[in-house]
Amino acid sequence: MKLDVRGEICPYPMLKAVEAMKRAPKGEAIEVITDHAPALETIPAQARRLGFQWQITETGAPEWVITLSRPAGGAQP
Amino acid sequence: MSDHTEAPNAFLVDAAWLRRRLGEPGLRVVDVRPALAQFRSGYPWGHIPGAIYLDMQQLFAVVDGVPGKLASPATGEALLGQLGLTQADHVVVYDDAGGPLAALLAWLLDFWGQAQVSYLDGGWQAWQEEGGALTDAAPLIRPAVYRARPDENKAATTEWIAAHLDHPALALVDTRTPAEFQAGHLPGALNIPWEENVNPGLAQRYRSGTTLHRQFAELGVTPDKEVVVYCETGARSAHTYWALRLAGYPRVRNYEGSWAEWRRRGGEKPAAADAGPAAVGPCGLPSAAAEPAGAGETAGPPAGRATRDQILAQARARVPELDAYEVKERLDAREQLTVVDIRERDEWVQGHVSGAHFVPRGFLELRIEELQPQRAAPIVVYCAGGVRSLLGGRDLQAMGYTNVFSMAGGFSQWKNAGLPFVVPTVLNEERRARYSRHILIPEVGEAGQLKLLESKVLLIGAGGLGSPAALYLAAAGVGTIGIVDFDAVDLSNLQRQILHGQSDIGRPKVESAADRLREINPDVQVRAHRVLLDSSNALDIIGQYDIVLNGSDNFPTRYLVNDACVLLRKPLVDASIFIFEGQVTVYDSVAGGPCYRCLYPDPPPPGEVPSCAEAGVLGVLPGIIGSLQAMEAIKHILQIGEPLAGRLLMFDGLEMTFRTLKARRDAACPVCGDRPTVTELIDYDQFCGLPARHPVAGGNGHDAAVGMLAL
Repeated sequence: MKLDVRGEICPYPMLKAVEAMKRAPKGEAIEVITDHAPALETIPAQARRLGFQWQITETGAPEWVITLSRPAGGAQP
Repeated sequence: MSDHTEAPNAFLVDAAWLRRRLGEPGLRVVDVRPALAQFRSGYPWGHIPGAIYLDMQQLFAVVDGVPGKLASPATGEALLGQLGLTQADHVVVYDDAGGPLAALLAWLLDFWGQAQVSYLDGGWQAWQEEGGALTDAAPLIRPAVYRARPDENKAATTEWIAAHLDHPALALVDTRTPAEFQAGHLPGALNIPWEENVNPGLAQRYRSGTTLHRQFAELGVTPDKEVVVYCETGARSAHTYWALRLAGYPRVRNYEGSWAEWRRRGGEKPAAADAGPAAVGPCGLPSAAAEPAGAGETAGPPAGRATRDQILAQARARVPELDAYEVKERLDAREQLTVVDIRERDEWVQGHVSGAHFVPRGFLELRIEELQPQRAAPIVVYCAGGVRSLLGGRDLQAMGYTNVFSMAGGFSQWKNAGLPFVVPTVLNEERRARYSRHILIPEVGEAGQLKLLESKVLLIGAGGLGSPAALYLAAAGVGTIGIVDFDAVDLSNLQRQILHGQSDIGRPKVESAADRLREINPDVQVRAHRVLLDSSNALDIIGQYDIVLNGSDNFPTRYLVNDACVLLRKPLVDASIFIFEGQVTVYDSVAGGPCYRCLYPDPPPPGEVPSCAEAGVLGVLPGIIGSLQAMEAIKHILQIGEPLAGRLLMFDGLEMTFRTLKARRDAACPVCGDRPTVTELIDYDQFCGLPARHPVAGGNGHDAAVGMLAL
């Protein structure tokens, strides 16, 4: 599941990623596409709170994909 | 509800409280959640009954390259008014889980003087957890008039922070994540991430005021401090603004521009150890990277540095002050007084002293010499309250200005005294971005751009010359462009008439041109005149415009346009082209210059001068000459530079030379001479000896090259 928040700035990427983490079907990874560098910090901070793990891939200059997923067998928030 | 008695009156409310109060008159619930269609999440898919939706992104814009800057109060007033809000309402804001977005709106309303603001603790998440009703019906909205009355004590600007960095009572709190903080932050800031304001859980409920107070105080942020909170764009920090208010802190300011603005305005480099406060300005802001942040960092100014109060005392001792009435009297007495408003743009746009020059403090030293090169001339500097103007006055003295005054009490006192002021017409954000390269030029600036937007230019012909001229005039933001052309686009036009394209063949040129110009710049109003310009309509059409560019291709039209412009006292930028050569000049009879008839009293015999259709023309030539016409038109509108009036610029593309010839008004000219014999328009076909009427068509038929042949 993709969430494209390119062109959006703080706090929107974070808010939308949180909503995606709350609403996405269990077991489905969320790929957040962003060009806002602070989101590389704000989204993982929220992922940690909601029990998600994350991985950041640089895909452009500046552009990143943050992949958010629940750890297998991990505790639900 | 907050357990802290010092909290603002009922700021924090819970779902149960809101359920009881829903529907009360004067209570307005505002939902700021972003709509996410893919998750069916947001206002359209269910919200608190009676709530209205506010898109916060409409309140923020990119300003001077800084994203997420608060739009002007005027924009906010319009938006809030459209939502039916008034300043007297009790507004309850909520977002998805009790986070920065609702906190930002709450802060903004508080800053703008909202009678009462409340915040639904835990947001929509808490509302649902507590079984609150939901609806997808939107309430009927009756627009209202919203008036913002900003309370400057609740916000911090970059300038304010720069001026107070060394003050011992200042506490800067960076609410971003530790990694963002370590990558760069304001000097002396403490890092307290906003997430520490809330309890764990999906609904982010604020910790109690007592807990928050202890958390902040343990890190050295105590209620005796003036606390400035910031983050990246001012939203997360708004959450902490309210945490501090809940904790009972009386003096808290949100730095709305935040790190995005500080960084943008020159704070990339670490602070130099010896940089005194006098060196602090918006273009040289210090910042710190990976500095260990501890409570001791804000302990006080190191030895050898002056505090804010010392600096101000020194400035006050050196810069004489005038009060608002004294300034008004001097202006009324027509004294040659240069009045400089050194406030920021958002302050200026809300009103200023009539005749004052707008030069923000950060640009004062850079621009003052343009305004007043004479060091002994009297200058009055003012700001909002009379503090910044003391510092500005001191800086002008350091440049050698000997007669500088600061207006005591600033513009606030001016307004409070009931003295008249003006509210400037200014460019909106989009236009300031579009025309930023113009605005940077001192000779243009915002005032010049406004002149361009208000100007009306008529192009005779949308052909070879008219094409580049129209394109550049439209791109430059000439507000109204009229085009007279009766012709349709033909395949042989496309070699040089760059307004038109392949798909336009057969279309009227005015239509094709209008489409192209609107695409380049939607600010431009294009008026299409698909007529044969003749003596019956020329005065009506030309009379609607400020300046005329002639790109016509035949002698009857050339004489007609010349005579009409002289009779109507309109400047005419004339040009002609022939194979590799072109010429441009400005006929401005108002300025005492010659007209076309002064140079060419009589038309050439019909058929003697070959046209472009007969002799050919290199396609790029009209591109050069038409662009020169656009340049002259813009110079005329802005009243800058030396116009080509009384001079004929000759261009030879093969030799690649420009030469100018002097051209003088002929006192015996039948149109603009001392005793004119042509006082109304005549029959120009007959005058030129032509048997039949030729339509006005830019570059299609007979390009006038009489200039070169006649000279």
